[in-house]
Amino acid sequence: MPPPGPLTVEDRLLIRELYARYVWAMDTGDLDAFAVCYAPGGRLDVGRPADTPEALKEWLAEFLKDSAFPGSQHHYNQFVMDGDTSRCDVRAYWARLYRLPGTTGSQIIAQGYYTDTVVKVEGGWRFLVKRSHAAHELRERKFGQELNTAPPVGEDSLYDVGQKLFK
Amino acid sequence: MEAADRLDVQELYARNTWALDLGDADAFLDTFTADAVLQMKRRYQGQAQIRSFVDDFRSRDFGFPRAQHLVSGLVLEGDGDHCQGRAYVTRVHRLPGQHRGNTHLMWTGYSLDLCVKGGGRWRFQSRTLRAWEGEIGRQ
Repeated sequence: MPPPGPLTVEDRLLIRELYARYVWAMDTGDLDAFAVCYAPGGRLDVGRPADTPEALKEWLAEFLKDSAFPGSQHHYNQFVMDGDTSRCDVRAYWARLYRLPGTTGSQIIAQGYYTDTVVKVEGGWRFLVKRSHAAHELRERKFGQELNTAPPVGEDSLYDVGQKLFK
Repeated sequence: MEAADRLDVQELYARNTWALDLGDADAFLDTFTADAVLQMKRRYQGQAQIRSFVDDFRSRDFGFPRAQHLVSGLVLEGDGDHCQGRAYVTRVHRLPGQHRGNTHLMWTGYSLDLCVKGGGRWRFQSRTLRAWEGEIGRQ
């Protein structure tokens, strides 16, 4: 196998699409499609950790008991990818939108960020580690330390920036 | 499906929503094939009917011209000539005024689409937009 090279455009597109498949699976309650997003040995590290296909399906089944399911969607953006053609650290914002029953209106019910590691296996890119954090946790954390290898974002966390903007 | 095609189809979605949110019927029609189907509450088939949809949208829609359609969660499956796309579609509406927090969510839904490549360009053969409720994914 050739040594890993720099991430290609195709890799970046396929990693983004992994996230699309993941949120579609989660928001439609598709247990099988959800588990397939993980590499063999891949771990979901949110709440009770799950690191087998069976445990991942159980995790999602538990998540689906949430009162906002069905009717909510996870959206993500602001991708930062650091890695190569075999493995990559990814961070991204997410927001969860909820369609209010009986109306055409919607609201944002949660927002946060992911700090994940994805690997390329047979069949494409998959999650090796997936972590999700609420937005307010940014106050206590700084990138480049315990989360992943991404560079620091500066002294002010997004929470602090938001506090200044909305003061 | 190669990376260049994926990027082109992503941009097709962007051009389509830019055109609608600006009320630009010509640009909107340019993202559809001649016999395309646009399925929402009503079904519009062909360029004349789709143009009538844009005209109605411009003149009657509550959110126009201060709303945007945001596309995310785009999953593409196909080859170099045809592909199926599914995407989350969110509509946000900016209320009049310059204060912060004056934007609200109008709608959350999704689209199920067929795209075809002809003459070196991708276009929609069909677009189906649905609210995020009920049985998701049923055409």
